[in-house]
Amino acid sequence: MSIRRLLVANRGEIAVRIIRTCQRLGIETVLVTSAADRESMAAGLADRSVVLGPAPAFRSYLVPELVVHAAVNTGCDALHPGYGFLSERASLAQLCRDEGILFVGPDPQTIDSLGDKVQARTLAAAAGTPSVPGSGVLATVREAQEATRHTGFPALIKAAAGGGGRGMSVLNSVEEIAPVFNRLSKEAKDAFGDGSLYLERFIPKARHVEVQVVGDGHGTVVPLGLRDCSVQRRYQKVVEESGAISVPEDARQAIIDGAVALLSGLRYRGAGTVEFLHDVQAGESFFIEVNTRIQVEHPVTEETTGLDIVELQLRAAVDDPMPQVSDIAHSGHAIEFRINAEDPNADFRPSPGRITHWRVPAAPGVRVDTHCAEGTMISPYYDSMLAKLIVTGKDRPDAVARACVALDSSEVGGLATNLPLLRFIAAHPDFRDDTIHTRWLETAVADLPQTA
Amino acid sequence: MTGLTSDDVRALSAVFATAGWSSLRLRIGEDTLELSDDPAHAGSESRPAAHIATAPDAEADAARPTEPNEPATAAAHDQAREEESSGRHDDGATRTREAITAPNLGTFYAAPSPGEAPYVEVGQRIEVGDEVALIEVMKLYTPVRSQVSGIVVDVVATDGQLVEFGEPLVVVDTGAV
Repeated sequence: MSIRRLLVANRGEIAVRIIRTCQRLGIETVLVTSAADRESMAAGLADRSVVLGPAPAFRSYLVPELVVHAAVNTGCDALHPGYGFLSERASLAQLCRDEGILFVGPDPQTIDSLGDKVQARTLAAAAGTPSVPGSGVLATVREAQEATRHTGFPALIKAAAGGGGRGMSVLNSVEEIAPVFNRLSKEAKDAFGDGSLYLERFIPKARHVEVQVVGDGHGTVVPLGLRDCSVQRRYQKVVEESGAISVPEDARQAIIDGAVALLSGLRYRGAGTVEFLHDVQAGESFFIEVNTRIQVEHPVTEETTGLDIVELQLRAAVDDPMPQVSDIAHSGHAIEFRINAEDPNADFRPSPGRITHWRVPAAPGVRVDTHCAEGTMISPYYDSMLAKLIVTGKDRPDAVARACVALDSSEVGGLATNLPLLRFIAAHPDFRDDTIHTRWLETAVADLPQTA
Repeated sequence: MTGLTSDDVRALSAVFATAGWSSLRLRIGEDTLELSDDPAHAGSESRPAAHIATAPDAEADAARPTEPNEPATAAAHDQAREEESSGRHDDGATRTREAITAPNLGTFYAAPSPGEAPYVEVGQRIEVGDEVALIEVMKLYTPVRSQVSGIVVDVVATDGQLVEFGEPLVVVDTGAV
């Protein structure tokens, strides 16, 4: 079995990325777009592109039936979902299966069970990687007090309906429980229509560490490497690295073993990422979730292993053998910076518009994954990522030095970008010394100078 | 940008079909596209007719439209021919054509089911809200209704073929009585 023509069910840089690998492998591509993306770089590269619907994603990119209808009627034999949009929607994988289209990803049942947070945590715990200690839904202050015996202090109390950093508070002692519980419960009810709260251990200094794996669908899961994505703003990754060298060797091995045990038990197929939170002070690692798709930050793993993860996804889909762990050589250190159309002077609000000037560096050890060029229109309908600047050096200090030069020589005109923030991070002593953690940027960003 | 693709020609033809222009001449890179409302000028193909001239012919052709009187002459010629040959339009009246377009990607069906008569045929009068076609997406058939009233002048989509969002399906002359 082999893939002759592939439908790319995505947009932006990842659509470009997928098409480029297909071109190298001699696979024809059909791109589905919205009306806003007719003229995109990906549309120019694909062998054919078809317009699904109008600009809003819920009428184009997010309709599984439209995407699969396009695949069937343009003679595609496989479909790559990219990331975001429908990539972790089991119904898309199922529709593909029903129509005889090869879905480049895990089977629908696997997507479903790992997509359900509770089920995923149960599976991970059974595989030996527990989640951050926490409680179920708490009905009363008394139940919350009971739960803190399990979690200890400090504890994080969260609204069940919250997310993205909203509706949560840190508890430092028993005395704080009652007033915080009552306030947060009321706020959650007002904001989300659901006042349910739960508790979990608060980790003051955590590293976000994740394992990139690829599975053959028959029980063999190969770890390709670790990434550290601790530079985050409002739970959004901003900078990602390969490998995770700040985490001690034994903890790194435990994370890899946990990820492999979890996914091999599910006979996982294709690329996936198992995410962990590593408590820097306690030295413990906790399972967060599994992403059953390719991730934005996959290039740093490619740069330190020489592998093409999109190619591995395609190979896994057609039952080709996966590489052996012993065949994977790791060398150097890679760092990815996400260049977004966001205004640092306006609380990082998205700043759509037309790119009038575009200059990205070309230098040894620099890779730019992008869908942008001079003249590209960045519409307000989709995410604001313009490009990923990936620098690779012989070690981390070398990579950081290259990053500073590459970011300084990057120029984008016509709209506001977060380049000032990225330059600030790359040049920051805490980043250079690798003493950062998941909450570091939130406080450090206060020192970012505002520009006129 | 390097020249015109078949998709470009299709898209431009669709615009031309609805715009009510008599001719269009466009040069991109080494390709020149000429669209004309005049059957004699364009060859065997009925409206909209397109032909692409590629280099080196395009080089020679390209100079001509810049001559000041050329477009006017062409337009006058077209209008004269239109009047004498068809008489479908009142003297000097602007043609008012509107395309009913696909609301989303899907498969176009001109008739409610195989063997039945099509929803609309050329020359037929339709009113706002009339069903003019079916669009199928994964076995779900949705009627396409007209947002205009007038006379059907063309059914541009092919029965059983994939159409994209915004692609013209049926062209209606809304000025016709």
